[in-house]
Amino acid sequence: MIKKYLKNIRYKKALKRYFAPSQEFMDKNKVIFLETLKAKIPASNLQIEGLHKNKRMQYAYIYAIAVFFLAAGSVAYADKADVSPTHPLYELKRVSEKIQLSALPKVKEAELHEKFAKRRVDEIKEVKNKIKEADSEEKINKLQSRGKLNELQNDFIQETEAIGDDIPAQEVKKGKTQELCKIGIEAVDDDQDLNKQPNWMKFRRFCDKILEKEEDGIIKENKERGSFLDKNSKIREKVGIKPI
Amino acid sequence: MERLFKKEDLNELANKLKKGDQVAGGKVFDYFSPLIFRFFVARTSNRHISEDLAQDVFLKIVNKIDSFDEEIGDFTSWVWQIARNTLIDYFRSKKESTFTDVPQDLENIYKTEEYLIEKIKFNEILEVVKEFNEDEQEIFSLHYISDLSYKEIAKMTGKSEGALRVFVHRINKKIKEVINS
Repeated sequence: MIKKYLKNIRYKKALKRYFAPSQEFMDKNKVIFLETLKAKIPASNLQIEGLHKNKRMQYAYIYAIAVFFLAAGSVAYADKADVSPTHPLYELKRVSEKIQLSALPKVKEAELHEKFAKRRVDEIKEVKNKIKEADSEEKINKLQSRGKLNELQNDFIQETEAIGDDIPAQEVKKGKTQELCKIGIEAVDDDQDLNKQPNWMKFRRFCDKILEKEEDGIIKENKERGSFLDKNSKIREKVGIKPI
Repeated sequence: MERLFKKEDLNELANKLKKGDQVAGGKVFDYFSPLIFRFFVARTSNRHISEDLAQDVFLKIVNKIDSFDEEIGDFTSWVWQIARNTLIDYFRSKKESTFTDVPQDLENIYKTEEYLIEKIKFNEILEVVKEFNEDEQEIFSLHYISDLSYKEIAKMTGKSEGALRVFVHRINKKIKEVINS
């Protein structure tokens, strides 16, 4: 009974396969069908219809795209023009910096951190100048300059510290940090409020240490050079040549 | 590709087709094309004629798609009605039907099938089908070959589902007699 049933199914399948169309015909006929469809009902109808159907969604989509491109353009502008912290596009400049950092390999990141740390120093100077130029306390508050200065100061510290994470070579790292310490201290030195910030005080101690080492190194080098010059002049004297 | 769509899905595809959606068009073609072709081959016994008729059906679908209304009936019934009318028109113009290209195609099946089918027996089945009356041949092609349900065939032919079951039972009996002889 089962054998007969299976036999029946087998023949049924064979019949279907026998009556099936060839792939060549299917492909050819499909092209003809779709081309006829295209000629009779252009696809543009579909888009227009779609726009009417979900009008709100379509406009929201277009708006989102426009905002995206506008924002992308603004970010690029804010970064390229290096806008000041009081500029409306300043936050976009910072966004751009984050994007640049995330797109680079670790080793290259150090260069950017250095660049951004220098930017923060320039910004601190710029804001400080604006405070000096401002003729009323109200104006200063309006610009939020004091708050901005603290933020910029902390950001500068962070950028400088980040260089240490990204540069493996100790000497290069030390050289870059020393340079940043110098310009940072120079920018903040005359501001009592900024100098009293706990983070800055800690950073300052760190800077003093590495700058001291540098100074020691220079003194030591000069001493060695001096002794060499002394020896050299003595030899010159001996052979009758004028000292340098 | 076959039997992948529900009635509602096909109606939705039809509505997209009305708007010129190429993707929907492709899906409609992939689904219906083999079924309709098999129906034509089973009825005309000629592959070349079946290809022409199938092509004709799809051109009619494009030309008449605006007249499709899902409130009146579903898309499957609408398409099959076009296929059936196309075949009726063909028979009106040419009444003869013979399995002219059977031997050549059978050779291919015997080579590709995993299991061997006795060539003579297969021919016998086709000979039996040829002896069916017009209604039986139509139901054989729609139910046996194109896999349409009783419900779908009933909508197309106007016969009740009960009457169709009787027809199919009779067809099955005749075919089984050949297979098991």
